[in-house]
Amino acid sequence: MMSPSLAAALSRRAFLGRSAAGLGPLALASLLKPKLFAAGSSGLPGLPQLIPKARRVIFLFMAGGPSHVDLFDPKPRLNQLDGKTIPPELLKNHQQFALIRGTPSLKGSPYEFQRHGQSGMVISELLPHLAKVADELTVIRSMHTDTNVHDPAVNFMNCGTLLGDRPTLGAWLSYGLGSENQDLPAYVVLTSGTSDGQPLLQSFWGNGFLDSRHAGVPFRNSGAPVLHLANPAGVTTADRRHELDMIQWMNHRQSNSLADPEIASRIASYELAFRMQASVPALADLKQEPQHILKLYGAHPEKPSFARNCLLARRLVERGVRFVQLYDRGWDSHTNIDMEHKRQCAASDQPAAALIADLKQRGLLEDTLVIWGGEFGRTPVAQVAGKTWGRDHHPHAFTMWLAGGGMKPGITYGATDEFGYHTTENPVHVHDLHATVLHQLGIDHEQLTFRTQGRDFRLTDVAGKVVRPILA
Amino acid sequence: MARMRMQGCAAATTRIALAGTVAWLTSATGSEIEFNRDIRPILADKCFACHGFDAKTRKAGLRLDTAEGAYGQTESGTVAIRPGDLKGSELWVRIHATDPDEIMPPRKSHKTLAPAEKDILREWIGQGAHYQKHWAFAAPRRPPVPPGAHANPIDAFIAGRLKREGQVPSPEADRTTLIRRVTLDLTGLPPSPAELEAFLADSSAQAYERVVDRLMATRDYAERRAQDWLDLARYADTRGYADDKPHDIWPFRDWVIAATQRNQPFDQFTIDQLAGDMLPDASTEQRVASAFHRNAPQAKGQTYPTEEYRLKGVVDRLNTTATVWLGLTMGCAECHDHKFDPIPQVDYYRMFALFNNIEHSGEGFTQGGPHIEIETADKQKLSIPVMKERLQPRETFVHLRGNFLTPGDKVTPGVPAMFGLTETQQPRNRLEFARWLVNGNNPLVARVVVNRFWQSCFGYGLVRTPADFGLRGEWPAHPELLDWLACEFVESGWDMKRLHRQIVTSATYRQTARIPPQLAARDPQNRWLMCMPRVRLPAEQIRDQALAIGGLLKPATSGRSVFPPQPDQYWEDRDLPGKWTTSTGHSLHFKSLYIYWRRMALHPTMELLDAPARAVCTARRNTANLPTQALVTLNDPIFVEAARAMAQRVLTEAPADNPARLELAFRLCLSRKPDAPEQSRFLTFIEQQTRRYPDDLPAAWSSIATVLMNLDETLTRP
Repeated sequence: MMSPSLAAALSRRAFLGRSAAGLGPLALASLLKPKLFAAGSSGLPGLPQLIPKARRVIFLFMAGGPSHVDLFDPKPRLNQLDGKTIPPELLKNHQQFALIRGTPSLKGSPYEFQRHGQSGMVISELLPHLAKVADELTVIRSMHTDTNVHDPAVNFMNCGTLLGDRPTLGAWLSYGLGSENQDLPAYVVLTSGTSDGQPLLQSFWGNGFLDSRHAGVPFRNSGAPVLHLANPAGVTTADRRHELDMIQWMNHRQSNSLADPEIASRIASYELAFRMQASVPALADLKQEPQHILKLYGAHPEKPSFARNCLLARRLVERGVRFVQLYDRGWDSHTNIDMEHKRQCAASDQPAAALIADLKQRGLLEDTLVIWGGEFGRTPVAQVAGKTWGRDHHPHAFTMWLAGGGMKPGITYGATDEFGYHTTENPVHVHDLHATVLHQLGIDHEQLTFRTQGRDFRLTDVAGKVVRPILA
Repeated sequence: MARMRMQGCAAATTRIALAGTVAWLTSATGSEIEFNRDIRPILADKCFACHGFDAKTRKAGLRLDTAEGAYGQTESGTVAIRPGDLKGSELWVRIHATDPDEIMPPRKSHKTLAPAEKDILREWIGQGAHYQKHWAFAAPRRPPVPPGAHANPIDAFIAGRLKREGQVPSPEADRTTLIRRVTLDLTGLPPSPAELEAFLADSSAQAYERVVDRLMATRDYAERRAQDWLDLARYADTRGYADDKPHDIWPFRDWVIAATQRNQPFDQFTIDQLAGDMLPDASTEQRVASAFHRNAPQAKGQTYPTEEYRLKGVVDRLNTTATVWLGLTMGCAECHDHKFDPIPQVDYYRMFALFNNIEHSGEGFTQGGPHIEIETADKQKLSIPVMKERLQPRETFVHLRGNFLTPGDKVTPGVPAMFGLTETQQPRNRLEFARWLVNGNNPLVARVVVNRFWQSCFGYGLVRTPADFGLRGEWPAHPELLDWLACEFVESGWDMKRLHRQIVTSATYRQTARIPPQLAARDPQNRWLMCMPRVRLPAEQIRDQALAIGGLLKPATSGRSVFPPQPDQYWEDRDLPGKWTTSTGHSLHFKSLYIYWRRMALHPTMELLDAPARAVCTARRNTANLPTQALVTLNDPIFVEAARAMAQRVLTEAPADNPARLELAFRLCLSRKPDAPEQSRFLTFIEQQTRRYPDDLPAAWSSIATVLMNLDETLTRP
């Protein structure tokens, strides 16, 4: 039984207040159970509230912002007017460009678009593999976000706020639903792509005001995904367990005496570390994968790549990890977009398509939600013209796609104007996307709240609408 | 250190001033109302959510954060504030409305204005509703110390604020906690058993202050301070970018340590580093100090376009200088006018011009820029990178869209217009610029520096965005304390040790870390400092403490970087050139400060424990709490070795009975004795482990050592 002071220490996790609508006392009750200290807490009682369509999420984050008009949203009119000055009405009522100054010219896409699959979904020639799984995709062409600056925009896509000090989607899911695998983190982050350009900040997988145990755990992208898994020579698992029991006993006493909630998180970290010692080596041994699977993804078991990360993501969700986020860097093509986007597509198209096919053949796609997209799109106008052409950041309209997890497959939702500049039909704000993702996981986004600084916070702030037409 | 690493432009500009926690209401009704001190906190807490900076959430077209917004017409044609005219001010009318549809703040905001707040607003409008410029851009004025029986003025400010919130400070921590806290913070190491005994035996009133003075005189102190400075200086042993070539710049690290140990005043510390090479009759030390800005990442070789990468270096020098001394996110203005702070792009390039005259590779310097040859302590010749000004200054142009291939207008050197210098007062070169920074009149420099000292003691600064004091930075929790410290600091002759001593001898710093029950509801971020924040140790201190506990730590005999073991093939796995050759002998156990710092592949023990790779200036470190970190202190060979050494030490140094051994083990790791339940449980555990390893006492005690070295209590500065 937990001492009163420890309960007090943990009370900031408590799910109090009117918006919790009946969950409060239950959540509080769960806090009083010692199993809270088991690795990967079990989430909040009463969640999921709705019947979940998805149980886990893989978010393929194309960091830097892929160009929607070159990949998913063809614009014949834009191509026609290539090189003409941007029509002034497009520039009304919107913030300035990130880097472009003056009046830029329209820039058509040099890439071919064709219809694919039974759905006839339109996809660019740069993504030939995704074209083959077109019927699995739910493409949203009418995404929009609030800023054209990288880090705030990535924060926004993750936390629903421009600041990096709130919990990310994965942290909310870890908090609300807990983990299905006590031996692995609920939230794992994998990285790939070019290492120059915008740095990845820890706020992108941060826990915000939730306990630090809900933060994403970054895995290394080369060598073993986690270092120092093996016990020192001569130390058996039983020895280590005895040591940990002593450590945790002391930590509990410390927690009782100081009421610092960080101590409870450390207790959870040490328990999870112990379990990961057993679970990660098998997880990470990609050599166990048959040759045809490695080939499907285009992955080498030991070479760092987005492909390897996709395969690892499948192995993680297979084991019940709640939220896996893959950052693929190198999409920020202000110049040389032809070279850079071709490079990014070449490295990510096949693995992303393979991930969908592989999840499907294992029966995992139906309850795994795959999300693809960046923090924003790229301007339909050229930042730089000529051979080294490129595009600036574009928050007003861009494309994301989802697959599996109870989405309606093979549909294209929303639309943009003839330039791909503004949304014209069924706009989907980032808050709406978040509301939809939570909904698929069985959570009413208005009900998943955390009280701090005198008010209830949630992922969708005071907005967000579930995008029902895209649900199966 | 701290939770968020600030990196460059974008991260810092995402900060929005946090309202609501500032309110430092004066009871000064009737006296002159000051917008920043008296009014802004009220508006920020009660109004800005709908009538502030953010155009997206703004209601009725009204913003109250600027005079123009408040005095102008709203969408409905009313005027919120007419200076001097209460009844004509819609704000005044609406805050007194009784109609639920009219009243401000609206019911659904769950915010109400207290009568005292309304009084202050009335006074302010009556006095002319004067707005003031952003607090940090106005020079600090030394505020009076609030009344009360406080020996240390810091405590008067902290207690005063707590009193206004109906709270009191926590009592002093116990003595074992105090010496452990202050020793870890000042030296990065735990107190030795002897130091602990001496302090516990000293019953004089000045015992604690004596400890502080003793610690501040040590080289350990200088090394610990240098560690924070090297994060800011983005000091590393390699030059960054994909080729990440090594350079011999470690004498700069030695210089920082030496300058800190002799308590060089911050103004001179600044001038030596920013422009030591330009001083008349510059000494070798001053030239070495100028290597501060040779830490800018620099590509070397034929594969990089020379001019482009030279300019990247200039940009880094400018942005780093702005972060370290001005707390400004200047980098945003590289490509466009700053969106939040008054820094037009042209001002950025005027400041750029100050850093644009450095000799560079491709200009006859085969090693990549100017170097000087020095003789090291071990009598070896070493060629180290330093700054050197060109005789003929380069011309500087605005780079349109940040692109140097599209030059705009030519600019002359100078600092941003926001600092209000006339053209004749403008610094014309790096040396004049450095002197201007520390002439005592800059509104930002002293505040930014004292804020970082505060951060190093409390985990967070008084301003929680240490790299952004601009309009999007966070407002200080204790603005008057910050200004008082800043004024004291300058008036003391920029005496860093004095400032540091002032903070760590305060009762505020000496409070217990036990969290009072009301904290979560009243002040969840502990901004009022109702108790002392506990801070997980930085990466270097976690390793160094383990080495010290094990008796392995060796004082550095040379400033050269060292190579403690790291996993095999660690660089090769990343396709990085070079080979890690593990050190031998004593240097294996030098402090982590001396670990070879490779930007593209930092030593994993450091990286996993949140040390920055120092490719850019870092004003604040992240502090995560992850299972991957637990595995470091449990299984990393460095920590395994330390635990075994500690076991040996306990067996050799303590009397040969388990209670005595246990007591020493506790003292080494926790600076205290075990209490009765601990004693009993640990003795049982020892017996169990001894049965498990009947012929191997060190193995049994290694288990105890592992337990003690992995406690939250051990890993956290109490």
